[in-house]
Amino acid sequence: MPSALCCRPTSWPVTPSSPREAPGETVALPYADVRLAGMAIATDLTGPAPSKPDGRYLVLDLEVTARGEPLRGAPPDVRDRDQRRYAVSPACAGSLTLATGIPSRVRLCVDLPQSAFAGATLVLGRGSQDIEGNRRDAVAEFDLGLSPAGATTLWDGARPLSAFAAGAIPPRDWLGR
Amino acid sequence: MALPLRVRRRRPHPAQVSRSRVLLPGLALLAVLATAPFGGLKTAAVPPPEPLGLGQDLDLGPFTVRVEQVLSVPSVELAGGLEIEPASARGRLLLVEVRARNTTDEPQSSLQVAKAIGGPRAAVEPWPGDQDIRGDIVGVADATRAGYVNPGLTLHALVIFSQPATWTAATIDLSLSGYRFREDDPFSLEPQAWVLDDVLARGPLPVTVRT
Repeated sequence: MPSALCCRPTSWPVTPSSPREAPGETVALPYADVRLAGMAIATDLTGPAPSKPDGRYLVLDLEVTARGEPLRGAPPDVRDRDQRRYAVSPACAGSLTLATGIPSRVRLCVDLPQSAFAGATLVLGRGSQDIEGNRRDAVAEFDLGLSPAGATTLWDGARPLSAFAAGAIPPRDWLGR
Repeated sequence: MALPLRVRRRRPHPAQVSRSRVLLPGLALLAVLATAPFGGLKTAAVPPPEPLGLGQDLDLGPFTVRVEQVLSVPSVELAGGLEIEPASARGRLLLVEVRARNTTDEPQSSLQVAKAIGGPRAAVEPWPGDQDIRGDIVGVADATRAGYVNPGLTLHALVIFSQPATWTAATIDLSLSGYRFREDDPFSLEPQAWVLDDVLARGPLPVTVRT
């Protein structure tokens, strides 16, 4: 089951801090509340702009509320157990860009090879890897809890899902409860 | 009252630069110039490109690329009904079908694959509004423009160039250039970037014409 390793403290140097949160629990970052509501693997994304991955899409449905001020353009990424970085696909939400205080459903889709699913971690922050990353900022790391057997089961059960970015009303195949 | 002690410090005057300061750099310069005819000032020789063939895997740096085929077509339809057409009347589209695998640990832009492809200038033309030649890169699986390719994934794509009506050859002398990794760059804001480098492979490839 996914759990959250949240959140690195804002002081320097940045180190992982708190023990694992319970699955589905809301993680309180200084700038946003984030809850990983559901996860699945998709063979492709359907809708007005269908998209096929080179591998398969890891689909992560989040509930996010920006705190205090609008949340602008924080591109999440996924790390595998060897710390390789995988970018989210523009076929779903390319970044977290949200108005203040309005709860939003956000779908992230990450094109991954099969070898990257087991041990994968979702990393959410406000910084860009291309500038200075998330230095001195709070970051949420969600351990997706995928063992090799679990990843294989999810891979074999992959199905098409809707391409969706963000909004108050989720798609019909929303993975959260 | 004692007079203040005056200490005279000998400082070099610009006109009084010591002889050693002139002779040593001069000797060094002469040594460098003397070796120039023997390649003292030249960079290491670049090996000639290897022959390029269809189905051959080439390590460009961020990607390992294989050219599957080269096509000439009248137009390409993207997902959503958008059509890519030649830039000029009676022109065609030159398509280079490739498979490109990201061999690094970071996402890489598929544009690097497009930029690595070269060929005769007469075979291609700029897109409307562009000054330079630019290949558009479209995924074969879903007919959408390709973006970033994640590590370990292979993009199957078409690199699309506009081809003028004046070019009708049955083969094209295509080239693939490699990239070198620039760790530090004090002159730009882009450290740790892949920079386009020399041609790695070149060769004549058949062009399949489709009406």
